[in-house]
Amino acid sequence: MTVRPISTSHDGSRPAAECVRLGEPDLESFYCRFLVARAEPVFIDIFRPMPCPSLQQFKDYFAADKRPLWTLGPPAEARGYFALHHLQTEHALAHLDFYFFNGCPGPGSAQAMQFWEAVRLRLAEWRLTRLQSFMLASSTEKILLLDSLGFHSEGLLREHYFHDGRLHDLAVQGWVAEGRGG
Amino acid sequence: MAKAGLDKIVVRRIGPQDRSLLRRWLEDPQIGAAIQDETIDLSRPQEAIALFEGSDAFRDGALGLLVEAGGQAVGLIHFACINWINRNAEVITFIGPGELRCSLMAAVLMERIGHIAFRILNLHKVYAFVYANNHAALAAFRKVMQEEARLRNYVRLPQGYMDFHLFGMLATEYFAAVRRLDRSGSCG
Repeated sequence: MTVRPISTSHDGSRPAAECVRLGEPDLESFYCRFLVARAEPVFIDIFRPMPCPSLQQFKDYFAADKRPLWTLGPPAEARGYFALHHLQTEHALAHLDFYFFNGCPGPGSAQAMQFWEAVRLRLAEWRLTRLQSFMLASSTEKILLLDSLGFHSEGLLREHYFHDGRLHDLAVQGWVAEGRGG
Repeated sequence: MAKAGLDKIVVRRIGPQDRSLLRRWLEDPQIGAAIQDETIDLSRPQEAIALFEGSDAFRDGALGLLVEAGGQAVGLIHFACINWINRNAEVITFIGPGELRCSLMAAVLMERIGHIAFRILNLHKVYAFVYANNHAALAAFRKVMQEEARLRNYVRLPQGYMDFHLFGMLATEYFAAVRRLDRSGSCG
C-alpha cells in the first residue's frame, strides 16, 4: 500500500503549493514568523510542555531528522507551516502539526487543498500511511479543515493541556491511508 | 485504605537489588509485548532497567516504582513523560508474577497509581496506552479509567495493523472512586 502523492489539483490546473523543507540557514528567519503564532499554543505535544521558548531550543528541537518541518511559502514570509513529529517509520506514522499565520483556510478552499497536496507529497516521500493530530478541542476551524481532508475523530483527551490559565481538552484526529489495515 | 487491605502494600523506589527480578519479568513475553514502545526498548533490557532504577521525576520526568504485597514484589509502576505544566503523566504498569495477574491485583495497582499520582505528586491526570490485543489490560483499565481515544491501525505488526487505546483518569475521578470504596467497605 502506498500513499499517492497529489502533485496538481484534480483538474490539473493548480500547481502544488510552494513548500520549503526548513533547514539550518532558514531557522532564524522562520523563528520570527513562528513567534507571531505564540498567542495560540503551537507544537502541541501531549507528552511535554511546548518547546521552543528560545531560538536555540527551536533549533535544537528541529535540528533532528525526526522532526521535519516545511513552510508554506518562503521561510521568512511563510503563510504557515506543517511538521511531522514523533515519526515512527517502523509503524509508518507520524503526528501532524500545522499552523496558518493568517487564519485557518476553510474546507475546500484552494489554500486548504494546496496544504493537503503538500502534506501528501511528504507522506509519499516518507512512506507514511497514518497521521494523527492533537489540537485544542476549541480549535474548530482546524478540526473542520482536517475533517474535510479525510481525517476522523479518534477521541478526546480530557483536561490534558494547560494553556492560558486553564486545562483544555485535546481533540485527536486521525487519517489512515486507504488499504492500511484493510 | 486499611479497610481495603491496601495498608499491606508497599510502593518503593527500585534499587540495584531488584535488577535480577526485573530482568526476569522483562523476559516474560506477555510483559514484553504489553510494554514495548518508543521509550522502553526491551531488546536492551539493561537500559530499560536502568531507566526504571535511575529515573528522577524532576530531572527527567520519569519515576519507576516497585510494588510489594506482604513483602513480595508483585509489580512495577513507571510514570513516564511527567509534565509539570499540564500536570499529567503517562503510566506504564504490569504485574510481575503470572499467577497474580488477576483483577484484584490489577485493582490494587490502579489504586496505588492514583495514590502516587494524586496524593504525592499532585498531578491532575494520568493516562495509559494499551495495545488492542492486550485484553486483560483493556478490561482492567476500563474498570477504573475512561477510554479517551482509540487510534486506528496504529501499530504495524507482521500479521497486520492494530489499534492503540488511550485511557485517562483525572484526580477527581480517583478521589470519588476511593470515597465509594471507603463507604461500601466491600473489600474490608
